[in-house]
Amino acid sequence: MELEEMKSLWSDLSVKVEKQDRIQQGLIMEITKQRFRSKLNSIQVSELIGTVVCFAGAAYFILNFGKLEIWYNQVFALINILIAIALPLLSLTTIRSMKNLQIGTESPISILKDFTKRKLRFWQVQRLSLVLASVYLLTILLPFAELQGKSEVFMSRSFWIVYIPLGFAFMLMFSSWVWKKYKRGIASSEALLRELTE
Amino acid sequence: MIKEEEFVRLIQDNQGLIYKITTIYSKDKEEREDLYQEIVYQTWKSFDYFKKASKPTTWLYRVGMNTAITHLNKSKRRISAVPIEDVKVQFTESGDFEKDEKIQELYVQIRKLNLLDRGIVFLYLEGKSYEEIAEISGISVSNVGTRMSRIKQKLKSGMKS
Repeated sequence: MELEEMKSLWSDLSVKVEKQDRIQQGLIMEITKQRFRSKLNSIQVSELIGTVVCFAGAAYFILNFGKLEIWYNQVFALINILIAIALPLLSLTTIRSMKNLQIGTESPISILKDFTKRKLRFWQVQRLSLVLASVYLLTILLPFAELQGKSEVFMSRSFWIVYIPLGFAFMLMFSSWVWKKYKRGIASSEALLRELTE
Repeated sequence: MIKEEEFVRLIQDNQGLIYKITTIYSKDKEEREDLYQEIVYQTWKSFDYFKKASKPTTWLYRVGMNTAITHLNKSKRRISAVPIEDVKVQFTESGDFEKDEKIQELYVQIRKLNLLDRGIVFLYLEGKSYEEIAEISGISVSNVGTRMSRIKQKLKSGMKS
């Protein structure tokens, strides 16, 4: 089919669409209000829960820092506090930046380039978050056990033979799955950017 | 109240345009409804810019395409359309089997294009000149020409196979 034929088909369709019933006034405003509410809800759920959990973790270590007596546990706790504060802030900033696009003023090409660049940054931040989260998981065990008065856990054989290898295996599997996902995300964003600047 | 009335009139006058954008950018009915509602919402959100726009239709084309690009490009998207059973806007079948089949094939081929090219071919099918396409999409006229000849080739070979 030639493009001119497609154009003529499209024109027939346009005539049909224009003949359709008018969407009701009440329904348009209902859609707008419901959409507004659902956006507010999604921001609360996905962004706030993660931030609260991380900040709660950081607060726990800050409040109990004085109780830690072993020097390396103090270092681990400090690393934990920094990561628990930095991670949500990093994620929130990139997510917010993706949401703050000027849809009403920019042209589609600028929006697409801008959005793809921000998305690329988002994937890179997510990848960094994965590394930080792994460090967090590794460093949380010792200071947490000391604060709970269960340092002897580390003396038991089952802890080193069963729990630690299982934990590492799970973390490795999960990380490699997420890493591949992020790599694909970055690759597709980069490809789109290349295509746009051609 | 006046703002609300103006907004409703803009949507009503251009509901066909919005619907056509959704067919270009979404693959099924559920996604189409979701995008339709997102465009209505984004139009309301940016409505203050509409009053400043020199060409209202150009502005609406931009908002529609920008919304489609950002909404469908999100990595994690939840379909969250509110039920709008009262909306009757849809492409009715013509009764001409061959024609309907060609239209469906046309959609399939257009959806294979990247997000920007889909918008460009949509504007072309809407009867816009290269100059108008350039103005709406934000690329140069010569770039529109280059992209259009590539798009023509892709669509032609897609329709043949």
